[in-house]
Amino acid sequence: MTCTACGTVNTPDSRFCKHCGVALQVLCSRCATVNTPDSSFCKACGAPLTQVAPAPPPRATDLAIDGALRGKVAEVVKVLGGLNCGRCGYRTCAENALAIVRGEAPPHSCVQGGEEAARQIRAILGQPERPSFGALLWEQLTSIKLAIVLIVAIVLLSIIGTVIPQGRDAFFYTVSYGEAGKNIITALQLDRLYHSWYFLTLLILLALNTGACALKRFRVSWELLRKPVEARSADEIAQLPTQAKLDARLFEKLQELLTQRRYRVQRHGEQLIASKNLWGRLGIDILHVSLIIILIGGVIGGLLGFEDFQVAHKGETFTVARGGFQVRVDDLRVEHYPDSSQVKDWYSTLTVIDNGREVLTKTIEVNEPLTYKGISLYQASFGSDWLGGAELTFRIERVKDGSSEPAGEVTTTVGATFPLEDGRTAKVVAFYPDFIVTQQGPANRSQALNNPAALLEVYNGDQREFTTWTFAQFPEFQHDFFAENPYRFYLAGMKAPEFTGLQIARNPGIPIIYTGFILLVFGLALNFYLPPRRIWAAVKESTLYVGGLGREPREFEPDFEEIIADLSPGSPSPLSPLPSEGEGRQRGEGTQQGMDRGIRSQHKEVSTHG
Amino acid sequence: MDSAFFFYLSAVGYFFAFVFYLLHLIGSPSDQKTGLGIVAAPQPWVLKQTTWGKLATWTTLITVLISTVGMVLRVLEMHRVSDFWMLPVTNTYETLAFFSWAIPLVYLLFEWRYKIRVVGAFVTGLAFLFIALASSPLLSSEVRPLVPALQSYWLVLHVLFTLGGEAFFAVAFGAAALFLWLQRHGGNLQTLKLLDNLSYKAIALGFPLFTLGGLVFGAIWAQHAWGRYWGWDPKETWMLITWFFYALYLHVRVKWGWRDAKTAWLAVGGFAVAMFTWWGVNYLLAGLHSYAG
Repeated sequence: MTCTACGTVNTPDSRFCKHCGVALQVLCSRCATVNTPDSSFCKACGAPLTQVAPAPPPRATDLAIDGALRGKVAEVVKVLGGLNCGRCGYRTCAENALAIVRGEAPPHSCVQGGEEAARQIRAILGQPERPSFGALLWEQLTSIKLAIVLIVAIVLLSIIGTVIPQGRDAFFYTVSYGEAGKNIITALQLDRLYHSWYFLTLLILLALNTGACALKRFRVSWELLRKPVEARSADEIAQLPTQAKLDARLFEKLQELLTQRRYRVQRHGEQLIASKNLWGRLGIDILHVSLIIILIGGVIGGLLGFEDFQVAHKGETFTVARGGFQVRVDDLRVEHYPDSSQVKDWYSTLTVIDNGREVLTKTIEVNEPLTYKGISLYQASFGSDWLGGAELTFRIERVKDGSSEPAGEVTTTVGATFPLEDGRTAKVVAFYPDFIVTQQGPANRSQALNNPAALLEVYNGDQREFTTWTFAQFPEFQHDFFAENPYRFYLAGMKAPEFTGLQIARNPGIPIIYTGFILLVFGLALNFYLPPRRIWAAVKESTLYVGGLGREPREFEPDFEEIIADLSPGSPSPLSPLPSEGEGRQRGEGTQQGMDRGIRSQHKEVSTHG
Repeated sequence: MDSAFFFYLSAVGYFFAFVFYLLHLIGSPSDQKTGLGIVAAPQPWVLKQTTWGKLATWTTLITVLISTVGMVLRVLEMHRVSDFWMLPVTNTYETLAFFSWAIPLVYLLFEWRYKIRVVGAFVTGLAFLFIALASSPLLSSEVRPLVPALQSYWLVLHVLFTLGGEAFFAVAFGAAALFLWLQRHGGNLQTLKLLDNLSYKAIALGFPLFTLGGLVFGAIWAQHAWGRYWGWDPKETWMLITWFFYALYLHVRVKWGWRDAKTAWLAVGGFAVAMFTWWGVNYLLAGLHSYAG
């Protein structure tokens, strides 16, 4: 049988090429019949064999295995047999073996080997014959599949929560979604989705999954960091996912180049070990742990903290029950931008009174809270109490014989009666800071002083003589519409007691959460900005084998190719996006051209055509 | 001359950069060095392929500088009105201007590092869209005084890092979109591989920035301003959804070995989610962040 990869003639029963090691048999994924590698369909059952040939990309990505684990991988590979049938979901038996040793795939994942292989693998890994319930649970809990399912579920639920307004009353949902809609929403807790039992369950599961994954990963990371990087032989280097074969004379230059690139280089005769950023491996562990810390902080804050809202007028003292102290509002102030009605800031001067003693006075503003006994008071809003206690000043005119004359000013409040010059009395019936007319009659649009209006009644003795509307922004309304009235009233001044809206909150989880934040950013930076790199080189039969491992083969490849390109100057950079002149330009032909210098990377053979 | 003038000028600049990158991208088949050879017709392109490319790079660089001048002027104008030294990230107009400054800047870093110009058309096209939207009559370029809640340096850090991270996502989006397009129109494998790697690199570099800006600084600001670091406000929730989406991308890529078309679609989808968080939430869903609209 002739090897399709290198052309070497092998014996008919060979499963692998004796020269290059490529599989000479293709296993049917339906009936497990052995076919020749060039067959398109299984000779026994007719199932297409093509899906085996463009194998799925490797899953065990960083191949970060050293020391004792590496020995185990070799033993497991032997058990798996090396048929590379792909039915386990991995491209090669070696990758499946790696995943099994790292705990990412179960010992029984080899379809071909079946129970017998699983038994032997468990023996190699030192696991009990039959996996215990705990082991199975652990396997599920640490699976990346669980993480992804949980994240997708959380994302979908979160989207629902942003579409359905949260935390409104039953009436709102009835109006918006109808009676049936309201019933569904309340039954499924969609009105407080983020606090529903099922959402919290998903979050807790994700935290457990994250923690379990981090723990499992950390065992490998620690193993790697604790031990020095071991030398690898030329044959071992040839097995690495990213490697190249070069002229042995480039050995010295490689060492120099790697030193220049800030690799820590060790040389043992004709073998070379170079590494950098190895601590970057811990980034993933740190950031996953940090996510759990943040969640714990959130739970602690949710259980032990509180959030409250307090409205207070100037001079008022209120009690913060949860803190057992009182707060007096000494002063309130609004600052506007010069020549503008735009608010620049709100200030409240607060005095904390604890046990009858004034302990602290501070002027708070937006973004500048006061904190006492772990409880913070935030300037959240500000307003004038126009509906509660407006103080109105009216300029009064008396109309006599068609002409009007001033009849004094009066400052009063809503509901109060005041005397007029000739013994008549007037009463302020209502005040609207933001007057509009609706189908139900006059109404107030907001608490802001946008269109102030007052309704007055004038009495002659007990007899109501007339009713009149006056508008601060439209004073002409008085003489245009109420020309016959003996008195005209103009709104000359308006004052209302100001109130401050204070958010009062205590969150003992904050220090924990902030610690988590720092670790999160630190872990992310370590992971993404200091990618770990290990490069091995060895000389065998005047060929220099160079190979390396990064965090991920493709993430490492460009770096590696740059090094190789620097080693053989004059040749075009392997990174040049296109084949250079003279090379094939038709579709697909460029594939192998860029790799003429002998860079072989497993991933390049993976077709990019979807 | 005010900042709006410079931003307007940068819109013109990005448009020309876009055209030059496009000419470079579709290129003539006779010039084999960098062209993709998509157009079969011979040589209608006046200038050589590489010349168009260089012209595009320089136009982008100069436009980024013009945009930078606009930024500096805007800071001065804001100080005049508000009396605060803030970066221009306090309303939609300013964030759009900032984003259309950050995207080409991040892209130029990638172009310089990876020596590839093909993504340029997508990226400068995006930058042009954003700054054109800002300069359009839909948005006012007027400098308004800052409302109290926005007077915080946490806000500046929050928006700066979030949009900085999203600029990386935009480059990843450009590379992924081009990947998907080229895959259907017979791009060579070397280019596809490079685009795939570029897209991943951009997300890997942008993700920490996005996390720092969106999650960390956002939460700290909310804690300072409202006394709660997290409130499941629609904007916050969508920010978390975006974060989860990119976390998912990184996991399936690293742990499941997904790549090429699959991850390219995810990179495109991720940017769509990020843009929905920015725009869709403002206009379709209500929440605390509504003043940013």
